[in-house]
Amino acid sequence: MVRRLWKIGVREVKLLYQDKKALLVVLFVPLLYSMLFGYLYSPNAVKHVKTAVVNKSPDSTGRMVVEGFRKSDRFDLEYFLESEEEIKPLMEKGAIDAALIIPEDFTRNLKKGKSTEVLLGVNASNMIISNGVMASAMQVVQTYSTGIALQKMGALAQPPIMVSFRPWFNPTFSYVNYLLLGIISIAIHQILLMSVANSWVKERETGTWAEFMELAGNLFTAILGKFFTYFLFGFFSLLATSVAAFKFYHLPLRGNYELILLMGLPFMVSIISLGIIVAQFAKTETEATQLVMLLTYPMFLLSGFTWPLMAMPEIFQKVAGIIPFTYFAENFRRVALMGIDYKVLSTDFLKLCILAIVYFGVAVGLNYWREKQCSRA
Amino acid sequence: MFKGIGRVFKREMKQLLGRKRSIIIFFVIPLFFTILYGNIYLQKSIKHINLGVINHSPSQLSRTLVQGFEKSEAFTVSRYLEDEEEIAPLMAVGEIDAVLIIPKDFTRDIKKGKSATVFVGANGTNMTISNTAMTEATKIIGTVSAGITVAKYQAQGLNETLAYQNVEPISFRIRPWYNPTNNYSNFLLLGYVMAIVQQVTFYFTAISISEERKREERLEELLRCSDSAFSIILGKFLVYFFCGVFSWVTAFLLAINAFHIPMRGSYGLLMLISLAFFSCICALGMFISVASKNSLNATQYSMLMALPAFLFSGFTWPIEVMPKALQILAYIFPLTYFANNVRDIALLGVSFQIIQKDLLTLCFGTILFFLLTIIVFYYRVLKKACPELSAELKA
Repeated sequence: MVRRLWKIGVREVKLLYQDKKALLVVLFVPLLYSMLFGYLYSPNAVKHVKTAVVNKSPDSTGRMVVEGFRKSDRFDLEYFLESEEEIKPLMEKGAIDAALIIPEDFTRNLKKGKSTEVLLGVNASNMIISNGVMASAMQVVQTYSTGIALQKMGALAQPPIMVSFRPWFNPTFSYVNYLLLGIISIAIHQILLMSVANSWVKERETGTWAEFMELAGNLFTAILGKFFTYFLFGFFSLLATSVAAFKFYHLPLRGNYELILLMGLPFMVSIISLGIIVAQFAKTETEATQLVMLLTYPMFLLSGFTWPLMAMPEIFQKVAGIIPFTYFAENFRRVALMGIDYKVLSTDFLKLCILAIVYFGVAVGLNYWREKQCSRA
Repeated sequence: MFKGIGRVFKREMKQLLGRKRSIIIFFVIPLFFTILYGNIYLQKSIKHINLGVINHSPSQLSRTLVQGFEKSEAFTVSRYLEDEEEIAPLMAVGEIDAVLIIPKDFTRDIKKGKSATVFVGANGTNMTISNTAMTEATKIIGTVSAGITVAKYQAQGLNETLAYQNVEPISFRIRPWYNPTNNYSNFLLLGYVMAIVQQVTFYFTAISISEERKREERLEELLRCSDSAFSIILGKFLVYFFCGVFSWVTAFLLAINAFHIPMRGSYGLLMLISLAFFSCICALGMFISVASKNSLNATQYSMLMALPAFLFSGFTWPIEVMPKALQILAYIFPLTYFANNVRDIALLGVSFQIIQKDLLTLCFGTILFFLLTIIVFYYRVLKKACPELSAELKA
C-alpha cells in the first residue's frame, strides 16, 4: 500500500508540474501573500494623522495645547483654519482626518474658573483611523505638555481619576500582530482547498479517473494517496509562511511553535477533506474554483478572527463552531502573541480533531456513494 | 453594427440567464452574502467585554468606579481578582478580555485632592475588543471622575450648577464624526458587499471569452452573429455590465435598508460612480479572459486578485499608511477608486467635486482595458482560431 501511495504522490506532482502554474500556485501563493500583506501592514499603526487646527483662542494657553499635539509624532498639523465651517469640506476631500478645535471663550473661561472644552473631531467612517486617533490623543493629553503646561499655570485642576491604558499581548496596537496570521491561514486554506478540489474534479473532467483508480487499486488508497500529497503541500506552506511572519516580519512568537504544528495536523486534514467534499459539487475545475472562492470569505468573517464571536448572533457562533478555520486561526494568533500552552489549547485541539474526523468520514463516504452510483449507471 | 452588437448581446444574455447556476451566483449569492455579513455585524459594536477587577483600595470611591463599569453595556464585570499575576492566565483561557486595576493609594490620593491613576488593560490580540475597551473605559472614567469633583464642590457648599462648572476646567472630548456610535457595520458592510459583487462579476466576465474558445463551433457561431471584433466585445461587455450594476444596486439597497446604514449622499452620484466602476471591472475581466489560456486560469487569476484588491483598496487599512511601493499597487486595482467613495457618499455625503478624479480614472481604465481586450481578441483569438472568417472582419 505504501508503494501505491508513493506512486500516487509522484503522479500528482507530475500532473501539477505539467501545468506549471498550478504547482507555483500551491507552493508559493501563500508565501507570496504573507510577504505582501506583512509588508502592507508593516507600518504597524496609524501615525501622522493629518490634522487641522481651529484655534479661536490664539493666546499662550491656546497655543500650549496646540504645541502638545505638534510635538507628538502621531499628529501632523497641516491646516490652520479660521472657522469650523472649513473643517468638513477638508475632511470630505480626505485632506484631513482629524480636527482640533479650541473654542473662543477658552482662555476667558479658564481665567474665570469656568469649565471649557477642547474638542478633537475625527473622521470615524474608517474606524482604523479613528481608533488610532483615539489612542494617540489619549497619549498626547496625558503625557505631552498640554496637560502638564496647563497644570503649571494653575489653569488645570487635574481630574481626580486619570486612566492609563495598556493593550496586553500587543502593546504597540500593531495591526501586523492582529491580522497577519489570519491572512496567512486563510491563504493556505484557500489555496489548499482549491488545489484539492481541482485535482479531484480534474480526474473526472478529463477522464483519467479510471486510470487513476487502477494505479491506486481501491478507492480508499486513492483517497489516501492524494490526501498525503496535499497534506505535505499544506505543511510546506505553513512552515514557509511562518518563516516569513516570525523571521522576516518579526512577529512575536511567545508560545511553542510545536503547538502550531500540532494544530496544523487536524486543520490540514479538515481542509483536504472539505476540498474533496467541494469537488463532489462541481462538474468542472472552473466551477470548483468558484465554489472555493465563495466559501473562503464568509469563513474568514465568521471565524471570529476579526469581529469577535461573542458579538455575533448565537446561530452564527454555532456555524463558526463547525468551521475548522475558526479553531486554527485564533489559536495560531494566541500561541504566537499570548504564548498559551497545551492545557489552554487542548479543548480547541480536540474539537478540531473531531471536525477533521467527521469531515474526512463525509469525504470518504461521498466518494464511495458516488462510485456506487457510477457503477450502477 | 448595432444589429451585430444586439445579436451578440442577445446570445450572451440567453446563455447567462439560461443556466440556473449563473442566475444564483450572479443575483442571489450577493444578496445572501449581504444578509449574512449584515447579521455578523448586527450588534454594530462590541458589548459585554468580560472584565476582571483588581481593587487594591476598597472604599466607597473605588466601588463607585467599579459600578460605573458594571452599569456600562460595553463591559460585564465577571471576575474579582486579588493579584496581577492572575490576569495573564485568565486572558489566555479567554475568561476575561479586559482588566481594571485600582492601585493601593487610589482612595488616599483622591481624598488628598491629588489625582490617582487607574490602569485599564485589554487583550490586544483582537484589536476590535481592545479599541472598544479603551474608548468605553475612557468615557466611564471621565464620567465617574467628574462626579467625584462635583461631589467635592458640593460638600464645600457650592450648589450643583456651580459645582458642575468647576468640574475639569478643561475637558477634552473626542467626537467620532460621521459615525458617532463607532458602528462597525457602517464602517465595513458596504465594503464586503462591493467585494462580493465585484467577485461574481469577475467570474462571468473572466470566462466569457475563454469559454467560447473551448470549441471551434462556438467561436464560429459567435463570429456569424456579428461583423466586427468591436461589436462582439461590446455586446458581451454590455451584458455583464448591466447584470453587475443590477446585482450591486439590489445588494446596496438591501444593505442600506435592512441594516440601517445611513445614506447621506445622493443616489445620482452613487449611480455615476457605480456605472464607472462596473464598466471598468467588466473591461478588466474581459481582458483577463482573452489574455488567459483557458477558463480555469482566468477564474484563478480573478480569484487570486480578490483578497489583495480588498485589502489594498484603503477601505480598511488606509492608503497613506501603506509603504510607498505598495501604494502604487493599490492604485492599480479598480476597487480602490470605488470602495472609499461609496462609503464617503453614504456616511459623509460627499459631493461630485470630490469623486470626480476617481470617476475619470475609472473611465480611463474602462477605455484602456476595453481597447486592450479588442486588440488581444482580434490578434490572439480570432486570427488563430478561424483565420478565414476573421479575414472578413474589420478589427
